[in-house]
Amino acid sequence: MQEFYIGWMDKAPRTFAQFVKKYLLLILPVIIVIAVLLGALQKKFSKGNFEFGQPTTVTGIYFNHPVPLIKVINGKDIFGNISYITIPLVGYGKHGADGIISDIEKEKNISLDQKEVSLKGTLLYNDGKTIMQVDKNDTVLVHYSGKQIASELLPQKKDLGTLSIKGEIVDSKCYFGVMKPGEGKPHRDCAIRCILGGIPPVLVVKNEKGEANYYLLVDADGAKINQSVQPFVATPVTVNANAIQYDDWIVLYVNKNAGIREISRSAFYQPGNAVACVMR
Amino acid sequence: MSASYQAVGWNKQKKKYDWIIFSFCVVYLIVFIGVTAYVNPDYTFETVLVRSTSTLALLLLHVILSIGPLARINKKFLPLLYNRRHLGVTMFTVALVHASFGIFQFHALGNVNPLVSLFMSNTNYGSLADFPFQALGFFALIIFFLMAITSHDFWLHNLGPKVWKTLHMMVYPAYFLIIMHVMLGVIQYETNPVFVLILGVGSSTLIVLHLIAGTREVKKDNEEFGLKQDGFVMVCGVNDIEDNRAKMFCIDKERIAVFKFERKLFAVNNVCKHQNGPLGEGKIVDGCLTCPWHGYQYLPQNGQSPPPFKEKVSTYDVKVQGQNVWVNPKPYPEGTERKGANF
Amino acid sequence: MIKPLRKRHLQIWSMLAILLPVGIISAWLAIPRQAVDKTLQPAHVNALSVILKSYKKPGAEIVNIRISADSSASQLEWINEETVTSPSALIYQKQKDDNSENITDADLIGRIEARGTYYFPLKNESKNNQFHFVIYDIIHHQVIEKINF
Repeated sequence: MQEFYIGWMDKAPRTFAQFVKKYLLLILPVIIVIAVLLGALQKKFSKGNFEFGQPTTVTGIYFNHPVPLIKVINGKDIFGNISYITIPLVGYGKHGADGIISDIEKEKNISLDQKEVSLKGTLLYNDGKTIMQVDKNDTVLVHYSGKQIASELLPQKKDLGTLSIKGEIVDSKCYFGVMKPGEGKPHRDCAIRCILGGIPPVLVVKNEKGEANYYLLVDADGAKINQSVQPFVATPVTVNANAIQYDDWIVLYVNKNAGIREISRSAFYQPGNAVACVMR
Repeated sequence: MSASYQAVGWNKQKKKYDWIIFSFCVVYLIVFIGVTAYVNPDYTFETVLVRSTSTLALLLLHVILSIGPLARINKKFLPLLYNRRHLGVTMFTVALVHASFGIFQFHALGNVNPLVSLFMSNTNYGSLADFPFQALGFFALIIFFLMAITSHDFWLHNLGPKVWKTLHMMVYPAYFLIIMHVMLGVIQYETNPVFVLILGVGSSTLIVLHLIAGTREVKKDNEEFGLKQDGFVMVCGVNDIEDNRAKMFCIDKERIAVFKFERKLFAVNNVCKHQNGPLGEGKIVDGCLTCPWHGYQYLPQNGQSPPPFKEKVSTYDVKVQGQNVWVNPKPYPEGTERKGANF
Repeated sequence: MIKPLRKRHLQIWSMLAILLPVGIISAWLAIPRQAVDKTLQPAHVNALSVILKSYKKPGAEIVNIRISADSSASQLEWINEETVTSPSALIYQKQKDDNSENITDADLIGRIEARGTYYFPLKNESKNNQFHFVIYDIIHHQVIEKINF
């Protein structure tokens, strides 16, 4: 006589219990193997760092252009050249820093542009680039000097000519430390939200060796390009722009017409050589 | 059954079932998080949380969807089916953690409402590679939510088995949405073919199991009965049916279960009133036909659940001629007393 | 299950048997190739021809002291193979390994950022052919690494 299983009874019949036990013993290693494979085969997380909860005060010169940033002077090198690091500013959450800066300027009736300041914020950094998050709930402006700065401290600009360059547009805040990954399709919505919120868009360009360069994107007139990059975020694109070295950042002044094109999946590749790209 | 409702009618088996679900989930999470942290010391808690819960929910969904056909192919899987809804609610809870954290991480603290952001950030609905995959996950989660909140028998009873089953069959489109959510989302970035292979093996297993179980049922339904007489159809020999057991026959597109009990044969409609389980695969327990799915019971002679329960199924006339069993497929109203056939 | 439900199950799974592979394969084929292009930084500089001295930390950096053929000029070649994980990374040169964290009397050579090969002119090579470099984070005021060779 075959045993019969009834769920509301306290115990399952022996043959059923044994069968289920065997099934569970089979499925347990399968679950473990899946967990190991999924855990181990993820792409390497970036080495970015977000010093959440550890504010830092940096002193330097504030500039409004090309994006809100603070230029920290490190001193002079052995040949007497000024050494510096420029740190673009972003706001809290998915917001740019412009609002906070203009609020400070209105409230104190001052202009921060090209003035020496000490700003308190949270640093995030990756691969040699550093960004600072400033939060309107903090005292952002710790020190302000209304003095005119020496001309040698103004941005050193160098025209690098017109470029057509391939890469991926990311939001500078997530990419350089807040999110892992801060690039690619899974992060696309977040990157769009950050960029639409005013966080400077950055073009990440990687070479064959996987080494990367990061270029700030503005429109042909140097104004914000955030709204118009929305369809091109987190996907391979070609950017046609005038490149200007702006201290230690390269800024791409994106062409007015078809300045950014998505590199279509159907683009036909020959080894190392793109022979056709389809425009969106 | 239908007399009154408890949140969950706990018994030893149910507790054991839930403990096993819990421990398996914990094992998965520990291994996934441990391996990720070991291989990737630069991991962030948020990403590991989003990924560990998403992969666990997907794994659970595969287990859930395999139980139905497995139980139809081999009855020994029935203990997994009985409390399958606990697995479903667990899966929804895990998926909810994934979704809530994902929505917070990717859409909160921005310049629009996170739910608006979910649909308006990426509006590339016309492209495959750029498709807004998060929307797919969102709609699947809504389906899982509706299923989870209606998983209790209270809802089954109030919505009726047909509506309830239809609602719960939405899990299949939800499964498709989830697969595409994964393929058009994280797989566009995490391009290791092993991930696609694992997903492919999971989907293929489900497809094969469901098709095997489904085609077997079609064969059963299409069985032809040659001999007919005065509205009766000859279905089998008397000895083909075991004592206290039944055999199921599909006559005129209706499945009828013929039970042997105390040297008599009784015929009732095969469909249990609870969740449309197959009564013909049940057994007589304490003088009642007992459904193999959830143990709902009916008296063989009138198809009524013993008081205080109120479920009723149709009954049929059975007769025995020589050593052969004959059934009349014309149903009597649900709960009609029939005297059964002596042999 | 009732017959229409059984039929519906089979219909749905027959449909999924087509839709799932089509969905999975087309999504797989839609994965974009990562765009690759040449990088502009660090700016290209011609390396001096003779390597005077080398230091290598596998996976991290290769440091070469280069001089011109006539020894009139010297250069620091810094191949940065590892992602910088501090807010800034400045290279200072010290005359001796004084074991201190102090960089006030050290010479600032330059700054490294992304992975790549950097060249910095040096004033003159070390008198005793010993080189002492410090990688220093100017933002957090801390020594990241000391290299003596």
